[in-house]
Amino acid sequence: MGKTILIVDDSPSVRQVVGIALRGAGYTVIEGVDGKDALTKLDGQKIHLIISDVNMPNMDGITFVQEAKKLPAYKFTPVIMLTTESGDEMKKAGQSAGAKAWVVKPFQPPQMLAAVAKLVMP
Amino acid sequence: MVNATLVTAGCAVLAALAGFGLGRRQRHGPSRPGGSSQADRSGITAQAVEAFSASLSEFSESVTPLWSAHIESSRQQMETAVSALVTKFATIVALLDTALGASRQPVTEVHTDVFDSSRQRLGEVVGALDGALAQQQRTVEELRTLVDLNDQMKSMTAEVTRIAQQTHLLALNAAIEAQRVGDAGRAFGVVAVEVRELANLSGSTGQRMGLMADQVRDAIAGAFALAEENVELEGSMVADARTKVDAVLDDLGSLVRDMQSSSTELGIATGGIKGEIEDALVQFQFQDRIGQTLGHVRDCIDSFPPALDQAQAGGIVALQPLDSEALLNLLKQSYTMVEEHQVHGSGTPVAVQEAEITFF
Repeated sequence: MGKTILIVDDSPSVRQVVGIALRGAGYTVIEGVDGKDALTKLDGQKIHLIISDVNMPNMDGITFVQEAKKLPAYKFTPVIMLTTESGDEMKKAGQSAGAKAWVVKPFQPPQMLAAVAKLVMP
Repeated sequence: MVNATLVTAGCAVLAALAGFGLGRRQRHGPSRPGGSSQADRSGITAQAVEAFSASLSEFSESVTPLWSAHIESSRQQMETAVSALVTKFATIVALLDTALGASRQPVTEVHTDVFDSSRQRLGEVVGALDGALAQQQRTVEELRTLVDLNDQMKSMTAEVTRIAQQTHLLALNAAIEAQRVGDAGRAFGVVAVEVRELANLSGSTGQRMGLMADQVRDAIAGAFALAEENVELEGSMVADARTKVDAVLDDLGSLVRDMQSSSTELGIATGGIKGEIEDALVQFQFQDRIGQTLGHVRDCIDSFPPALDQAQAGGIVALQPLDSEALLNLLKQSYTMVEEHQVHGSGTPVAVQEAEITFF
């Protein structure tokens, strides 16, 4: 059975583009439209990696990661932030929240897949 | 690409308009020398300022909302269209995956193994036919041996007949001698007669054996001829079967190889198309960036009317300068991309930087 990755982004086209890249590499993909919606997906199912945007309505990505890390089942789930933000302050905030990588859009699928392969849980 | 250039230009125009109105008030203020004409000019100036202020308010209330609405409308249309395009491309990619899988199904390693296994099994069948043919050939050889043995037996039968004839002659001579001897040879004559009878019996038995040997030989020769004919016929049939089986398998093998080649070419082409589409999909990520920039521009335009109202809150006698710096700072704080900061600083479009990945 393939590994499951949660994509969190308020942009449908970004979720689709990322989804195409991940599904093409054999991953199972589930989606959240913002941080609040994504938290409802963390219902105990096995998730091997989370890819989250930063700037989202209802709940931003940094807050979502902080809340996700409080859940015992997802405390050690690796997180990649995928965002247009590139400032050092934001990166530090992401790292403090528990993210393992920061990818600035637009991403190239091979680069993204390499980062996913490096961080995804076994 | 609509970006912060529009933002900077728009806010600068609005700020300039407000500054122009204030500048005119300052240039034509009450410090200018003159008597009643000065009061007239002051009244005209006040009217002009009031009219200008009113027009500025009207501009703020009617024009800027339209700018904002058009930008937001365009942003939403772009987002909807790009999302639909990405969905279409995603469907195409999925269909290409299906086509790729289907093109590989007819000829896989499993099917090639089945073909090789079938070839081997057909070869075993032809081999079994060869074995049966060889068995028949051995039977023919055995029959040939029987013919030879029968010929030997015929010779031996002829020998027996000759011996019987010789014996008969000897017995006859013995009988003649016995008669010539007279009474002393009477017993010998009896023995001679018995021997002659035995010789006759042997001779007739030998003749019957000879006849039977002839019959056996004829039967064996017939069977031998039939067997030889069957061997020749079946040998021809087996050779023909082998030739046809080999030809059919060669044709099938050629067909399988052609299908493999076509399947490989189709797979390469399909994979290439899929790769091109996936690369193209990467470009749709720019919709997200453009949407954000347009949103920042829209929000900046929306912040102008309240700023203008605040500057005019005290009426024309207490007009405050419009703080363009504050508007620009508000805009700058909304930026989420490094290119927006670069355009803000230079006022000119900049290229998007290569994607970067930072591992913590």
